[in-house]
Amino acid sequence: VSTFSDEALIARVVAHDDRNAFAELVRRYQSQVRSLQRKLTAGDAHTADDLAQETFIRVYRHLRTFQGGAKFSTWLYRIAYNVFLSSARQAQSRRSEEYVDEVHAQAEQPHEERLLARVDLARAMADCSEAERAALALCYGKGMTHEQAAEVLKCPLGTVKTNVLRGKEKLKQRLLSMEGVMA
Amino acid sequence: MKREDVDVLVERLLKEPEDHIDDAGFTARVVAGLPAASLSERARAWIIGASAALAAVVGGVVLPGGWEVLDSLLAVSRACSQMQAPSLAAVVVLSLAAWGVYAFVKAEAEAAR
Repeated sequence: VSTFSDEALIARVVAHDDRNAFAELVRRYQSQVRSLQRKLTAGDAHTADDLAQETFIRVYRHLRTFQGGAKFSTWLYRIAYNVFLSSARQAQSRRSEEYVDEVHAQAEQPHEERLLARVDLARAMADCSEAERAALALCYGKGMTHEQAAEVLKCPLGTVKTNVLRGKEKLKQRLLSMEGVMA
Repeated sequence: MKREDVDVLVERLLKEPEDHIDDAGFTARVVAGLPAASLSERARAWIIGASAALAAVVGGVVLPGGWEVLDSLLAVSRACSQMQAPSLAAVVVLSLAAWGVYAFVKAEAEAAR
């Protein structure tokens, strides 16, 4: 099934409850969804993975309702964001040192300053609101246009633009206050 | 650090391509956490239809008024003007049968799509 298109995999899951096909979909998108959740949870890798898992289970349950006209990744990110929002309503997202460790572990031949700044960026995201983090993660992390992000987040275009600007401003303030780390 | 430097740094960090996250058993955990395999729409339709038909037959025989309802329906179909008052239980059973047929037809139509 690894050579099948997304549409073909989805059709197999819907028609025959083909779990191998669904596993292939998960394999294809797990990195994107997990990284999005990490940004939304301000670097809490453990919570992010739990939310990513919940995202895919929700995708499985509702795959029948997916409209083929829409891009699958857009639909997937919207579910991921909804899962995050549900979770955020129940518990305050918390920062995790795991993400910091993982960034250190995963970076290949990292430049020290760049790496530290990156770690601080993940922490700094905690200063942003949920909506600001989502707007930044989609527009920068996923390379979406403001219009596409508005579609995923189900909010007006102006709100996305405002959240991106506010989020960036907060990141800058946070990084400025961490001058000592980056010096 | 100058404000301009931070502006540049934030832009650069945000635009950096994301590291690929290794699967490391994630997909296996997701698949293991999926709900148990459900019956297909077609199988569900047959079960609903058969259950409703069985309930209607049993109800028609066992419950008081069942035969009367059937007689009445036959009478109506023959354009007879007088219909005996059916018992509530018989109405429920026959409504259940009608619902079962409706659900069966609907599920079959969905499964055929």
